[in-house]
Amino acid sequence: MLIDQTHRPWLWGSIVVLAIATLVYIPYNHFTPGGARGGTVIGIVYGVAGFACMIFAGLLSLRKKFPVWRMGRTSTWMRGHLWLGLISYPIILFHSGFNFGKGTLTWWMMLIFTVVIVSGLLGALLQHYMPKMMTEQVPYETIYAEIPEIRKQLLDEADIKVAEVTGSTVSETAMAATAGNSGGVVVTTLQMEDDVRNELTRFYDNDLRPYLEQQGGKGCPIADRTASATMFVNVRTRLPSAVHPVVADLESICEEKRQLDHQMRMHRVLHGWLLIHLPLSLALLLMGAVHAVIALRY
Amino acid sequence: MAGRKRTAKSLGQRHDFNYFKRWGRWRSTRTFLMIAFPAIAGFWLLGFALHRDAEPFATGPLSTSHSFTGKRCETCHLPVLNAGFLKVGFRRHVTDSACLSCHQAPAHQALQTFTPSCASCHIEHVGSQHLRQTADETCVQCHGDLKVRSGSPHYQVAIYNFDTRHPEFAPLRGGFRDPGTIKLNHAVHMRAGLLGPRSQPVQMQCQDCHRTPADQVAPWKYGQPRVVDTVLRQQATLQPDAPHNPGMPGEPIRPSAGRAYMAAPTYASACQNCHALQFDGHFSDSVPHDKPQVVHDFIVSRLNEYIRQHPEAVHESPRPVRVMFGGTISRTPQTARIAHSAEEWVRFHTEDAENLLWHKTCQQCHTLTYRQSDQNGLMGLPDVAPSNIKPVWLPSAVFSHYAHTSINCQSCHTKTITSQETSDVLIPSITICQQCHNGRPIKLGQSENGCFLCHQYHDWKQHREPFIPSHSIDQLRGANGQPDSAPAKELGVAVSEMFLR
Repeated sequence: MLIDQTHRPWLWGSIVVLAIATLVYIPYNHFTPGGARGGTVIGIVYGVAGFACMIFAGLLSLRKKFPVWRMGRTSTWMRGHLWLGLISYPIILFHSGFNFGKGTLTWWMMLIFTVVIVSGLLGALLQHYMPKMMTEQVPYETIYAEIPEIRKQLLDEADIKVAEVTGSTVSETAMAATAGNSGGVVVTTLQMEDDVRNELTRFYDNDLRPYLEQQGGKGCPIADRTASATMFVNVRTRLPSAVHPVVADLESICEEKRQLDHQMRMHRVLHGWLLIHLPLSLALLLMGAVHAVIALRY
Repeated sequence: MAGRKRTAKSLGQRHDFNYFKRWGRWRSTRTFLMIAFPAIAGFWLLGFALHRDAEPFATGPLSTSHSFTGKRCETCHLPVLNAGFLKVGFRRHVTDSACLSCHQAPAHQALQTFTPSCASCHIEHVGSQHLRQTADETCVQCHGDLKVRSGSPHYQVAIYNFDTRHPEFAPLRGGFRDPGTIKLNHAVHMRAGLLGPRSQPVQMQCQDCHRTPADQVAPWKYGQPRVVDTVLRQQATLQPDAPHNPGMPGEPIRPSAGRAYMAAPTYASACQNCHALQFDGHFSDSVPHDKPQVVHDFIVSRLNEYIRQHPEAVHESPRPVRVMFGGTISRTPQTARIAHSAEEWVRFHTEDAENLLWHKTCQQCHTLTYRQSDQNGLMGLPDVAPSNIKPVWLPSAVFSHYAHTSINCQSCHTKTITSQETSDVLIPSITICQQCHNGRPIKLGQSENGCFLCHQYHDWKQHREPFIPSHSIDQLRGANGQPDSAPAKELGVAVSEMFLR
């Protein structure tokens, strides 16, 4: 999500809360025998406040599970998640008296909390900048989960295009899919010389098709945009102009496949941090609850 | 041959609109991790719980002095509420009664308005080495604005820390004078070339006179062992290891034992070698350093013994003597009196010896007063003023010279070398201490200066009650505690091994 003007109230609210917490902490730490720590009354208040912020931040995923619930807009929850989650870290540090956990459980909690906060900040930055980058760099952006299916469709489409020229056999499924995609236009086989046919078949089978078949472009020179352009220029020079529209379509398919690969990479970066952030957050909430019960009891 | 068309319709037709219902690899991985991580954390904690190991749940490690209780939290964390024999209540905070079941803790002051709980000063589970090292704030919460239940405080009412708001030591405030009556001139004694035993020049050191009780019986480098040893041995026999039970061995000997404070210098250990108490030319030995009556009896006894062994001495022509009046020697020698009998000889010599002792030798150091007076204003045996040497100047504080062994005496006792009067108070000023003890918190180059370093909260001087222990080793260490159920223990061990090893 974009961190824009709509975050300003949350930003100022967080600053005010943090300032109050800091103003309370300074005399509290100075006058408390043995310094600030979690077991004092104010320390417990900090702990409860910090844990409440963490629970609120954790409820975002629950809110997303039930989008129809009338509990405020998800974007509002998201802003709350971002800012309350962020200030929960200094509040918990006030709670612990800036100790990084002296017990085993508290040490692990602080470590996990730090990782959660750092990964969350990284995620917020990525969510702020990467969607714009993706829009610019991936005009053919599609639904991430559908990319493997669309890659197959691109392969079938390319097979049909090449078959139009070379007369090679194409599966009916591919034909139907491609026909559907091209608005039901019936394709015709061009009358081509054998050397031309062989040239196109060699290029397609050796360079283009392996690239379209696999996920990503590992080991395929055509995956590189510059190399791809050079290769398609060479193909065009060796083929008659009547075949050039087919070559242009193949180049377009290749570009779309390249963008889908790029989208996959960007998607992994954009959402990869969640693989750390979400599980560790849940583990932290569980450990925090155990810590709270034990600390209040003992 | 048709070219590629990318219309919204054609693009839309490429998608499966139920794609979000499918579980792709990304979604599956994320869900798996969201279950796995909390599960690992949960099993990890469950393993400890089933294994009855509470240590990981603690907010910090136990102090070394309590570490023997191990994983038995209930040794200290007892239920706060007791309903008869039934212990109820969710909270199990450590109460004072739990501490007092093992420890003695005398009260601080009878007039204190507030008594903090044990755990508020001795903070556990922060990994401290010594729980006695309490934070300054625990003291300042009262001494920052001291109030008492009745009357006015006897002590400074606002003390915050040793660095800034601690008053100068009481004997150095308000013209306080040393109440000691021994006339000692430190400057003279520290002078180079002072005549010592056998009229040899010596350079005295502070340790020649000022020694800790543990070091007091060591021989003095300038001393004559024959003279000193007898007296010191007598002292040692008078101060057995266990004064109340001579049959018992003393406390274990530690390097610091008996080396905290300087013993008050005694005549036998510090003065005798140079300041001999000779009383008559017929004798080489000295009178005992004791009360005037004892000295008088000693002189009479020795003279009687001498005249019995040497009856011819009655007829010896006496040598002229100088008579002293209150420490002033007459300018001209007086004509000696001639004795006509042994009794008269003893009386004359006793009077001469006491004239020497009372008016010169003893008066050099002691203040003497006379209850009766003759024509010279002096008569009879004098009264010797108590020495009033203060071995401890700051009774509300503890100090150890042993801990400061590496520092030479003059570094702290700066005025000693020039002091000429007994009444000079020579303990170091607080500013001397603050040169080193300025660490708050302790850091490189700055020594600890917490209140606990010099002051004790619990008034052990007033503590007289015997302590009745209430725990057995098994209770404290858990060998005889509540047994773990076998299945739970086995499960705990299994879970622990699975997740911890």
